[in-house]
Amino acid sequence: MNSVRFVWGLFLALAVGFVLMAGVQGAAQAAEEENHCFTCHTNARKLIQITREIAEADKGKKAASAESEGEG
Amino acid sequence: MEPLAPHEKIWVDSSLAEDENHGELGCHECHGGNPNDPNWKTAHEGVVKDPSYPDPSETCGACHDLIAENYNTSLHVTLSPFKKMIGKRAASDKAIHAKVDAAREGHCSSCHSSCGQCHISRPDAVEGGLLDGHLFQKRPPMQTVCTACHGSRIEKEYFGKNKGVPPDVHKQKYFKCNKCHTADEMHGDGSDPANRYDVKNGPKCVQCHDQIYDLKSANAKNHWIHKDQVACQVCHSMPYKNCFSCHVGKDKQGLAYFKTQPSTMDFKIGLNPLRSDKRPEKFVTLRHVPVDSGTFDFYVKNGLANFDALPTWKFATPHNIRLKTPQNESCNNCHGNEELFLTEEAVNPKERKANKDVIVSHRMIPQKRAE
Repeated sequence: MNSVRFVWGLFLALAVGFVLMAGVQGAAQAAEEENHCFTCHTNARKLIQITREIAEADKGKKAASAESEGEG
Repeated sequence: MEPLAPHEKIWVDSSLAEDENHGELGCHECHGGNPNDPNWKTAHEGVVKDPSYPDPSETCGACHDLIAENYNTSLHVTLSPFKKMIGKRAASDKAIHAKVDAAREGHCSSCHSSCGQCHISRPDAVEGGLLDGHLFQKRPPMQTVCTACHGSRIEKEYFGKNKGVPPDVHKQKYFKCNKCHTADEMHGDGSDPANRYDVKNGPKCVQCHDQIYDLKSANAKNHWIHKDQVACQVCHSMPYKNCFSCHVGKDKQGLAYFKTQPSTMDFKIGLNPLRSDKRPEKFVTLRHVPVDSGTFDFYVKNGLANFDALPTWKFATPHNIRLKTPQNESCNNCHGNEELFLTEEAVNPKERKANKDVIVSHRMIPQKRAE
């Protein structure tokens, strides 16, 4: 009788442990798979900071010729 | 149109996630890149800014398959009339023709559009930038999309921005572009139209004004007299913009530039170069287009050796329609009024040969009427 209880107890402990581990792992995986495109592109503050970095790196580069004249 | 600030161009409205049709798509499914990478520089490796150009079949076309099927025949994507028209004017020598073709591709082809550049962002040709935080626009907004490109002529005419010329009456009725220019016209139909007037689903005034020939309608007599003789715009449009002498090249930094002479406001009635069953009118309004025999001189001398193959005054539908105009105030405001017609004297002597089929001879001008 005691051995049956022991086996059941062991089984329950393992099952609970497995469920808990899976939950922790799932949360970690979810954090790892955060959609950074969305979180960054919906954050105006971040975008201002990044576009300033880009502008600084591109300083001096011209996007369009200053020689264009008239209406296109 | 004011350009957007750099961060505004790429800002995404978080409510995009609630879009029942597009919200469940991951960004990377259309744009590529790595959404799991927190470093923006490496995350953007392989990112495609406009996944709908040049081929939307794997993105927009995955759901909008019928529209995407005809995408490659939409003039907004192909700009094929540019190629055809410039090709006709180009020298027949293969090497010169190829240089003209390359120059056209480098300069004129940048003004194309795409699914994304009408429904999601401003067109690249006007510096791009997301419309309304990447929320999908079923109907492209008029001023940040349509007239952002069609600005020099159509926008200024339609909104009454040309000095002394009132806006189009349809604008005053709050018509947006898509009231006349439907999605079917914009999206292409699988055929290869010679020009925008050849597009099957293009607008016709009589689609709405279907009672102008009804004998009980106001002015039915005048409409019957002029039916199939003059285009609607001949009586109902105001002076419009004409452009001249476009020259393209590259500056010292290798950046493409264009130079045009100052445009002029004019109103010229000429012979219909596109006369057909669909457009039977003898007289139409003509607009001078910016092409010049030396347009591509920077790249190749005498590139447009067959310049005279096509007129430089082209079929036009000015977008400044009014019920009453200077020319329809009375019969003789038009009849016998040589100023309104594209006579030989009104055409630059260098371009008379090119325009021989649209020039109105003096004897063709309707005579003054006894009033």
